[in-house]
Order: sequence, then C-alpha cells, then structure tokens
Amino acid sequence: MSHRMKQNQFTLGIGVSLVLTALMILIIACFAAFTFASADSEMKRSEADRSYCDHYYAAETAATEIITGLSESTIKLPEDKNGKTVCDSSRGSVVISRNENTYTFVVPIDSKQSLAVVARISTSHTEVLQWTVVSQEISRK
Amino acid sequence: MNRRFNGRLTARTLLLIELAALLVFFCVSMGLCANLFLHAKQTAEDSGILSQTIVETTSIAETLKASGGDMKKTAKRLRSRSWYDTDKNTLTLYYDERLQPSSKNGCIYQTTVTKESHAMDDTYTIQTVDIERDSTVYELTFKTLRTGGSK
Repeated sequence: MSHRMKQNQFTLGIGVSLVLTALMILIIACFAAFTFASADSEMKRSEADRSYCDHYYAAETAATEIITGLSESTIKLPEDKNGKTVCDSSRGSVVISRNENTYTFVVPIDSKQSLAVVARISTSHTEVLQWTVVSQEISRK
Repeated sequence: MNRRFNGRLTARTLLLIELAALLVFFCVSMGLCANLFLHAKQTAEDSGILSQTIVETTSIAETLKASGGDMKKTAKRLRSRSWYDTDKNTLTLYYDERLQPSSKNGCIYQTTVTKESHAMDDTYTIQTVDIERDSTVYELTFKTLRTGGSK
C-alpha cells in the first residue's frame, strides 16, 4: 500500500513537471513569435521609409528634368502664353500651367503626396519660386 | 528494470518513453524558438541599419544640394562624419558596424557619392555598401538643378 502511494506521488510529481515544462515551452514560443513579429514590423517600416525616400527623390528628379526641358526648350509649350501642356515624365503625365514665363506643375510622389513646383524661366535665367511637398488633395485643388 | 508482462509495458517504462518523447519535443521546440530568436535579431539589426542608412543618405543628399554639389564643402558640412576621402566628383565616407563614423581601416560600411555633371543639372548616386557581406544596403540616384549664377 505504502509502495503504491509512493509511486502515485512520484507520478504526480512527474505530471506537474511535465505540465510546467509544456507551459514554459508555450511561453517561450509565444515570446519568440512576438519578438519575430516585432522585428518584422520594424523591417516593414524601414522598407516603407526606403520606398518613400525612393519616390521622393524620383519626383525631384522628374521635376528637375521638366525644368531643364522647359529651359532648354525640349518640352513643347502651348502657343498660348497662358495655357496648359501635358508632359510625360518618369513619374507619369504632368500638367504644366504657364502664366507668361512662370510655370507651375505638380509631380506625384506617392498616393498621398506630391511635389508642387513653381519656376520662372527665361532665356537667360531660371528661378525656382516654390518647391514644396503637398498632399494630393491640396494639389488637386 | 523494464519488464514485459503478457506483452504489456510497465508503468515505469511508459513513463520513461513519455519523458523521452517530451525531451525530444522540448529540444525541437527550443531549437525552433532559438531559430526564431536569431532570425528576429538579424531582422531587427538589418532594419536598424537600413533606417540609419536612409537617414544618412537623405542627410548627404540635402547637404550636397545645399553645398551646390561641392564635395569638399559637403564633407566639411557633414561634421560628425569626420572620416572621408574626397576628390572633385566623388566623396567616400566610412562607418563602423553601428553606422557611426569610423576610419577607413576599421570600417564595415562605406558610402560613396558620385557626381555626374550636365549642362543645367547634376546627377548624384549615393551608395552604401556592407564591405563584409559585399552587398549594397541602399542606393539612391537623383538629379538636382545646379544653383547660382546665370545661364
């Protein structure tokens, strides 16, 4: 009888340690998964930063190419001095508005933001009057 | 001692089998968890380096524009990045494993800025390379108008 009780106690002890071990494994697994998910979301944020940086500088490059094109007359302008023209750029089609020798255009950066540029271009001089990042909603207005 | 009685296993044998199975399960689980931790550590390190590289690259790009494309002026304005080599059209900056300024000999990361001049604008390429892994961390190419003076 006493031997049987001892064996039961031994089995119970093993059972408790098994449950504790399983619980420990579960906690460690959860912690590992949480750590991985956190690192992964950090990486996604960094990738988003990289994507925004690429898009911003691509928009800047497109704006520079448009100003250079206008200045060197490689972009065809409307006959009317106060008209609009559509120009193909590396960021898609860009509408250029002309008011005498002042040109206004908006280059899309991403789905939310755009680069708004105003430049005064004459045969001898190019002056950038505005170079700002605006939200797409403002740029549409 | 394990004994068989009429083809049945004793309680102690069953317990030992159970313990062995649990040990195997424990080892496999710990292996997977350790693997996940190591992967998470590597991902966190990579994302940290990428974020810092983007900050460094944009700082260099804006300093280049502010300096009118002059590499020496740019290098001087990037005061905290005191270790550099420069000539007319290139600028090389050196960093350690945490992307802090470092000497050329002890550097792990190297950022090279190259400039290509055109009539009205300049094209810059800023490339950060992990020397140990021989891989590019980040590369940015952009054009900017040349400022100052009249045509």
